[in-house]
Amino acid sequence: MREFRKRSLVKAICWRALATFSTMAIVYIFTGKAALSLGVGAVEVFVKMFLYYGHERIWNLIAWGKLKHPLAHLDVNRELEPEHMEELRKRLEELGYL
Amino acid sequence: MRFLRRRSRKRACVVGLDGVPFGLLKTLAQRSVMPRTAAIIGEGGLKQMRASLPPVSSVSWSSFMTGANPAEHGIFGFTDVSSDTYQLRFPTFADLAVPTFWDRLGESGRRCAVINQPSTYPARSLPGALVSGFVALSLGKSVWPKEHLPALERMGYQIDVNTQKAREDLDGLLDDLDSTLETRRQAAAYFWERENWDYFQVVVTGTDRLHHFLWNAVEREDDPRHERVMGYYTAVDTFIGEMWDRFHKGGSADKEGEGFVLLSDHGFAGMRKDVRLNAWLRENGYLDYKAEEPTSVAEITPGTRAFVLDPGRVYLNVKGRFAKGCVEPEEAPALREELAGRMREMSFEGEKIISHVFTREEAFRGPKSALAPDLVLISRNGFDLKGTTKGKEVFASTHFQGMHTWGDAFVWSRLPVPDDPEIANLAGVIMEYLSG
Repeated sequence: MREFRKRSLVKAICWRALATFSTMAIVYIFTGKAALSLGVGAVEVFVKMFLYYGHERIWNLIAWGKLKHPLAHLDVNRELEPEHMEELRKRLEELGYL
Repeated sequence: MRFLRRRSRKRACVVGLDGVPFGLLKTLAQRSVMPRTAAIIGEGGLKQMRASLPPVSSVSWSSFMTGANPAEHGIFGFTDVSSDTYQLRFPTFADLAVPTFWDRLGESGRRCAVINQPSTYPARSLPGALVSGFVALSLGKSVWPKEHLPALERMGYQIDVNTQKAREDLDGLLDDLDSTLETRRQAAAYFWERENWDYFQVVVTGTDRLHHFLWNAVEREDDPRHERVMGYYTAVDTFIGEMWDRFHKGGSADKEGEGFVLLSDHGFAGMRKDVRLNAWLRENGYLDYKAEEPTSVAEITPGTRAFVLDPGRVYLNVKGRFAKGCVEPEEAPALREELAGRMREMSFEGEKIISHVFTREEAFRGPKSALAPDLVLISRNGFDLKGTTKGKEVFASTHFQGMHTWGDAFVWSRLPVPDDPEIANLAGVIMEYLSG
């Protein structure tokens, strides 16, 4: 199943909020500097959101590993065999559809 | 765990009655011919429903199973015409351009058992089991998965009645209808137990066959076959009652009737005359044939400006759309308007024939609109519109007694079916219920 752009975008924003808060927390734990933690978060939130969105859109083009749609294998507009055509015509005629 | 998950899911059961009009169902329920149905619909919820445009089973059922307009699912009738050769072709299940709602339910892990669904031939894989209905040619290609075929063969499962024999032997048709319904009943019981389903559907198509050949016996109490025909309806009612009991016994509904749906795909009315629209076009100078006795629209002359496919689909022979098109695209709107106006005025013995004329834009919306007819005509009761190329007379009598109607199909459900429903609305209602 393909995803619409809107879904990729919303996923990017959600994930970014989660990831940025956790990164800021880690930076703060390691350095104890609130300003640095906020600065890293402010830069990362935008840069990685765009990267994530691009990454999602590229993966969306790759069919490998995706569940195929149940109709994917169908040969749409397949013609019937001539003898089946004739039988079908007869059935439809019998009910007045032709 | 699977057991616990299974119990928490909602289930739905749909019983389709092909070609049963709203008014007739109410009458048969009131007259106690269908007492179980009367009890089910008695507390409200029965609605008159619009069939598809045109109102034939292939289009209506395709709209039901996809929730889509014909210009989305791509089925416009039992026949289509090649834009190169004008030869007729017969769209099959493989031509359905969008997934059914059974496929969509399968994507969320739900399973369906669908029995005798018209326009699903040849059967293909779906999440669950499928037995195709009309116009299924062989049982072998009508069953998915194949493991169910031996059981159906053992029960002598009949896809349909013998319509060729029906013309000469109406009593034989009634016997055939009884035995076909009996095998349908057995198949329903079999799949009910064998399939781990969330959605179950069975369609009775015998009602449509009965109406085509014996509508007079349905309507007239003095008809010699009236009692026998009412007996068939009582047997259908017993079958509906069995399905209802089974559904509730299995604890499928939290509230009584919830998830149970009854519907028809189009209505029916008595028939006075076949109206051969190609003969009318020929008589009025819009169409001509190369052959004296043409067998199909493939034999129209290059100067033909319009032709009709069953039942009332009018196609303009426009340049660029058809190989022998002679109507300039810029002239097409005026020609369409002219035809719509003149056909609206068609009459028989002073009585108007056409009740509605829909343009392509009014009737169809979707990516396949370009393949749709330019006009769809709906007739008044009694006048059956035909796209045949046979005969020079516009009006003809045949052995058929009934004809399809558009505005008086029915649906009964306790689910939130919209007011003034059309058949394509139901897939969304059922899916929403099962997903809730």
